[in-house]
Amino acid sequence: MKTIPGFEHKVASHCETGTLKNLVSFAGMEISEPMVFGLGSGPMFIYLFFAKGPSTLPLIGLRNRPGNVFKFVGKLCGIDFRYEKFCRSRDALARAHHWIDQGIPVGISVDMFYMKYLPEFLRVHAPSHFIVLLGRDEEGYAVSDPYHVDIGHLRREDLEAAMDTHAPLARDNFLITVRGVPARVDWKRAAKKAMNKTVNVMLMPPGVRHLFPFLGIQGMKLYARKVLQWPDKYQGHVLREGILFNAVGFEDQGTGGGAFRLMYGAFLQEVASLFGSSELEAMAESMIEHGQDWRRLSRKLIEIGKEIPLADGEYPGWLRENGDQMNADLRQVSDRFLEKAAFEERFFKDLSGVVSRLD
Amino acid sequence: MIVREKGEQYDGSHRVVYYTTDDSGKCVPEHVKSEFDEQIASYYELRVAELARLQDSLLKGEISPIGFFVQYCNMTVQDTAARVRTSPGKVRKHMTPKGFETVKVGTLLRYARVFDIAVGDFFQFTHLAGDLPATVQRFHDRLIARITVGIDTRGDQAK
Repeated sequence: MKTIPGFEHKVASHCETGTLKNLVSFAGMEISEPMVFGLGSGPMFIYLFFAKGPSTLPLIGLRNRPGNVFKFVGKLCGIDFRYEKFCRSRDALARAHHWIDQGIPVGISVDMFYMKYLPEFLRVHAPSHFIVLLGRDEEGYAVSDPYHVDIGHLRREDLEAAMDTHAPLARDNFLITVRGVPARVDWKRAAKKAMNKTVNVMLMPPGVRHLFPFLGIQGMKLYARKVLQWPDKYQGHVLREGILFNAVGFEDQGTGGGAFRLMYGAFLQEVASLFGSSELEAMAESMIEHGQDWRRLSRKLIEIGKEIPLADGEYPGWLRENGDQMNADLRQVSDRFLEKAAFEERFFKDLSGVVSRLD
Repeated sequence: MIVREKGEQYDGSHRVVYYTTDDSGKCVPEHVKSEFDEQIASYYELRVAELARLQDSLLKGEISPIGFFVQYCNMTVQDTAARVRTSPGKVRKHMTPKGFETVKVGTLLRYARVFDIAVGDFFQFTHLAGDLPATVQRFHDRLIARITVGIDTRGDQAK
């Protein structure tokens, strides 16, 4: 299939940051993925204890609302994104054809479930996945997906279903194109603003904190407490799958806790060299160490999950013998997660101080 | 729905971009095999077990085909209802064998889209022994499906 000449498909750690990076790179602006993530005020923690996620356990989110990275980066860097929303997938695709035929790649928000080129374990109903359409013919579309090493192919039927989901919080039939990129970006100003925004979102004012105990640092603390309740609420393969999915979600699936924190550390390193700030460099190092420790915690979760038998029939017997050990292990995970929350609380308060001293 | 004897297999080819520190302490991206490949493989084992459990439940008449797919796709009643544009109460009803009998074809089409299946998949499973190749072609927005078992010599585009 013929694709838009000059578009360079590159894999990335995360779909929204990767898609944005690939789109603006085509428009002539070079920006690293960590810089996109940092300027987009990406770090967040959301524990929707009342909503079931793609696994058997409640939904966890480790970044800000999908679409916000585009919004914030566009605003801070002066990138002129064109957002177009349609009621029907037919109209959205007609518009996408118009742009593709003019040689303009189109970013869209889709449900990962229909991305047939991805391995099955990634194909969950997650309606906020970002990809770029960069070619079409009668059979379907050529897509650049940051999670896929090659250019993927989608049939029209699958793309329509992926774009028009009617799912809660989905951005259905939503197109993004780049109208223009600025000749020069004041990276220092943009980075300072973005870091302040991230601090505010993670720490939140006290009143807001109590209203939304599942967000930010409070959300991390809530998650740590809920971990202890898992064995009472879930049993057998449901518990096993949930624990393993939490760990894989933290690190691999759409990136997650440890992975996002490492990316934020990389962003801080980049900003530290912009300002020549040793203070910010030290903050970056501690964030990277925090991300690496989070990854170790994910490994611990894997160890716990793997012990649980796959067959539900074996679970009661296994629990009698290993229940105390599992509870002790989950207690350890909970304690370490509370430490992570305490670290982030301290870190973002300190970051606020460091940012105010940057010239 | 085509069910293979061995279930779906993970070939271990998936790669992810990790951020790791290089020798100078700089945090850089690396495109590598997932550290959690083993867990991903166990996910596939679990899917096979889940499919067998749900099929058993379906054949015993404990759940309807819609109940089967809601659980198989790891969805909630609320999410399914929003996507099918109906109420959670209706979805709960359709998840029972008795309630399933009242579902209209138009509604089945909307469910089929959500579960990414053909309407016919609500009524039958095609079990494939060994490594027999099979392809499915859908027509008229999933209303009709053509299943080809063996090598398709007509050169049609297959799923």
